[in-house]
Amino acid sequence: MGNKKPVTEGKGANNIMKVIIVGCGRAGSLLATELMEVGHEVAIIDRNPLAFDKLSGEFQGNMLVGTGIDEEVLVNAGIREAEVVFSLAKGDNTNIMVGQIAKFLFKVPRVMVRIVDPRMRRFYEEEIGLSCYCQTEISVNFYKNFLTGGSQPCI
Amino acid sequence: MYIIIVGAGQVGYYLTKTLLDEGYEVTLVDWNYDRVQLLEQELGEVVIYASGSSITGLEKAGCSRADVIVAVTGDDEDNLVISQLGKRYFQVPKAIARINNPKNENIFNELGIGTTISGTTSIVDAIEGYVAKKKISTLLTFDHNEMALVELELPEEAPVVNRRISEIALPYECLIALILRGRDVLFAKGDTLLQANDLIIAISTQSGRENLREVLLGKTGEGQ
Repeated sequence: MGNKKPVTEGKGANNIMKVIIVGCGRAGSLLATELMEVGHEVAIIDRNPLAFDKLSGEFQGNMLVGTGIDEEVLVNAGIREAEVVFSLAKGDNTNIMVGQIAKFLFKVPRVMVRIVDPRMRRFYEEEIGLSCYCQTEISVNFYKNFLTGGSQPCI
Repeated sequence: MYIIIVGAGQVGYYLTKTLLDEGYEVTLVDWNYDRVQLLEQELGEVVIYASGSSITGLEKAGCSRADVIVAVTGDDEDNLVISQLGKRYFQVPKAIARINNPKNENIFNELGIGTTISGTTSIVDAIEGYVAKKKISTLLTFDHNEMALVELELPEEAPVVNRRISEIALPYECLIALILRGRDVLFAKGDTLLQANDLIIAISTQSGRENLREVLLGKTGEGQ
């Protein structure tokens, strides 16, 4: 963080992506800020306008008040051109619906949704084909690793 | 026949009571503890306290042996997940989901979420049918909302009045099924002569609806 120069290493200098983030909570706001800082084009959606206070003062991306399950809000956020959608809203079900709208209706190439319930994560990944991130499973692995004295946790 | 209803609001409550009266085995699932306690006093162990949009909660309700699952919560994202889990995880043969926001109808249909019921759309249709007689009202939708049974009344100035059905260039995706004339029910045939004030019941695709309206009522049917 703090580095305002666009990242130019890696897959090429022009690796700027259009990203939509649904949910401006702790994770969403931090992700939005950091992606913007390395030069990506970020739009962030939240139901509560006060949620955008969590963004860094320098955030220049698009902020949209509304729910991510509303097609109109997603279109205004630029989902037709988006390359990546992250759905990090509070409820699993909201993320599941946003993920399916983005992936199957708008054919966004890369969609990642947060699902807190591990069994739901498995079902939606294996049966429905969503890419999911389950913080519960990841935290538990981290704790188990700590317990067994693992020196390098998963992050 | 075992039916699971998720969402113990007014719709879920009355639906449960009606289905119990008709002799079905029913379980009503809700995650609002106070609501469950209240309804338990009246309905007994038919009501269970569980999250109907989680695998664990639906297991508790015995979802794997259910014949029908009905999602009638007030949140469309929950109704989507409930029907999806029912159909795809528990292999329930029939899933029915309520859609609260009519904007979500398209999404539910695209994602193949079983049969959907939109109270809002029905009410809007009823109002429009009442306010403007020159409109088509939807009586029923089926085949994932693709097909509709529609009704419309022929005003005196309709271009098809005094014409036979065989003389009317109906859109390909529409079929006139019945004509209600006063107390008479006429099965539509090619030589049936349409009259003013006939109530026409037709089957149409959703996309063919407007064409049908135009053919039967003329292009100036709306907004005049």
